Formats: sequence, C-alpha cells, structure tokens
Amino acid sequence: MKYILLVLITTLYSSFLNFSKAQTATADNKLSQSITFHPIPKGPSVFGTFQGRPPCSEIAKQLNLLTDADCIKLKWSLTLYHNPVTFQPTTCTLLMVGGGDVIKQDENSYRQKAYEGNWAIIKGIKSDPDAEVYELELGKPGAHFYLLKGDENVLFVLDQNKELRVGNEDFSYTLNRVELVPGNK
Amino acid sequence: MLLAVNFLCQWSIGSNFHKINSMKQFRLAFTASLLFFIATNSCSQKTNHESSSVLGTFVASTPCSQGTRPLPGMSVNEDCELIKWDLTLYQDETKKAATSYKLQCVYGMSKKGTTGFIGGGKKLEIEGTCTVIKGTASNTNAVVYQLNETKTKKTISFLKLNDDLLHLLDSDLHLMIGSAGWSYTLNRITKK
Repeated sequence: MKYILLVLITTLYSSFLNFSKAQTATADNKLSQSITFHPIPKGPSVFGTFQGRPPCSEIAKQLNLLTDADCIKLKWSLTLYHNPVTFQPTTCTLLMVGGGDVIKQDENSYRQKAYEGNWAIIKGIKSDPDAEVYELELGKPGAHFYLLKGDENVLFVLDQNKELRVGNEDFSYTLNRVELVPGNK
Repeated sequence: MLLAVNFLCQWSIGSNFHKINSMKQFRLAFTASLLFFIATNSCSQKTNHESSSVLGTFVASTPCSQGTRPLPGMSVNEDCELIKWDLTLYQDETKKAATSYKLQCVYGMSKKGTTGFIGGGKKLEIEGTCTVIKGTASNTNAVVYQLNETKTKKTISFLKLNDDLLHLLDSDLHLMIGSAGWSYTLNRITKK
C-alpha cells in the first residue's frame, strides 16, 4: 500500500516538474562545436572564430558577390587574430559560402569567397558612443565591415553607417563564437 | 499542486498515515488532489490585450538543445535543435511602455535543406506580462524586457538592442550564444 502511494506521488511530482523548465542556465549557455574540414587555427595568436548565417541579399550587394537566384543566406566563418603579447588586433580571415566563385566538389558545386585583411577595435555607434566595434578591412571593394561587440562571444554585423541590420524569421546578422572541431573525411 | 503533493507526502511518511483507515478516504484525497492539479493548470489567466496596442512583432529561428530549452512548457524528453519564434509585445496606449506579450513557437528537429521541421514541429503558445528593467551582465544601462509567463511564473529575458532587435539572455543576463547555423536574435517584422 505504501509502495503504491509512493509510486503515485513520484509519478505525479515528476510529471509536474517536466511541464515547465526555467530560462537557460548560464552553465548551459556555452560555445557550440562547429565541424570544419579546413585546418583549424590554433595558438595564442588566435582571438577566436565566429560563425553565422546572415541573410544573403544585402551583404552580396555590398560585396558585389555573385550568388545563385535562390540565395537566402551566406555562411560566414570569421577568424580574428591578435598579438599574443599586447593582445592588439592584427589580421583576420573571412570565408563566405553561398556567394562568389563556383567550387566543384565530387558531383556537387557551391559558391565560396575567401577574404584576408586586418581588423581594429574602434568606439561608438550612433545610439551608443561607448559601444565597442570591430572594424574589418578585407582589401577588396566593399569588403569593409563593422561588427558590434555584444560580448566576448556574440557579434552583430552592422551596415556601412554603423547601424544594426535587421534580419528575418530564418536568419539574423549575428555571429557566434564557436569551437572548431575536425570533420571526418 | 505543491501543497497537495506535500500533503500526500506527509500522509504517507508521517504520523498521520496510521489515521487513514480505509481505501475510500485515500481515493477521495487523491481525486481531490488530481482535480486541484487539473484546475490550476487549465484555468489560464488570459492577459488582457484589449486596452493595449501592438508595440511590435519579432521573429527568429534559434538553436535548441538538451541544455538550452529557454521556454517554460518545452518538454525535456523531445528532440529539439531549432525553435521558430513569433513574439508580439503589447504596450500601454498612454505610457507607450511594454506591458504584456504573446509568444507562439514551433520547435523540433530541422528538415535538412529547408527552413522547416521534420513532422511539422511541435507548437507552443505562452503569454503573460512584460516588465522593463535595466542592466545585463555586461552593460548596466541596457534595457531588458522581462517576460513573465502567466501559468508557471517563469521568466525569460531579452536585451533590447534597438527598436527592431531583441536578443535572448540566459538566467544570469548574459547574451545567449548561438551556433554556426542559428542565433538568438529576434527581428522585428511588419505583419500584414
């Protein structure tokens, strides 16, 4: 009898607990792993790799990038490097998939464009003069970007007037710091 | 509900148990507790939007994982890698301050090569009040919308980046970190 009662109470209690879950705890808010088949940048000069999928049209237009008619997003992989002693920004690489040159792989093909350049930290956007902004200079026409630092792990891609861009229901102008892991070939 | 369960626990473990001398009394108490549980979870206190206007509607596709199920009502037992959000904020007509919200979500496993879900996903609708507070973990002046869910009293918080963008926060008001595929930024849309 006691056993039946205990089982009933446990079942009722556990079903209640399952019903609702609190906001994500900080311990669970961590970097996601991103599989890459490229060499993984390593060492103290790597500031971090940030990835995201901003909508296609605005960025493609800015970069004068060739895209397919059904381009809805561009996959960004941005690696920032810094001086390991002074921690000052140095160089950066940006790999963009979804626009640019056609790359044939096995029976498939996709578009890709790679950029290399420098980055710097500047201050201020229109709405916040103290905001920290990463300025990327990638050496090609139109390849000049401002990224608002949300925090150490989240960056927002700004427009040429240093204003926030608005995404859509599927894609945002947000880059997230990731942990790169090797893919199995 | 907690009171009912607590009562049952004391009943079985404590000294009161010996006083219950029939299955009839037990069945009565159990049925009463069950009815109480159903009643408190069925009667949704509808938030009144009639005296409010729409402040804005914000949409996004965000990640979802075992550890990041940011909404009350999401089952921990179901597979999830994507959540599509449709959040409407309402404001007081005179003060123009956010006062309440309605959130409609679909979550589940994404269908590869599309922006949709396998099996259509699972729907979730919640609503409640909205309060505006100041400060996140990294910015004491930041404006934060705190959405208070009516049934469970759980809270989810968003950083207001500007009038058109919100970003989900964790329980310590840090920005939620997205993935290579999806982020936690909600974008204002104009509903037709």
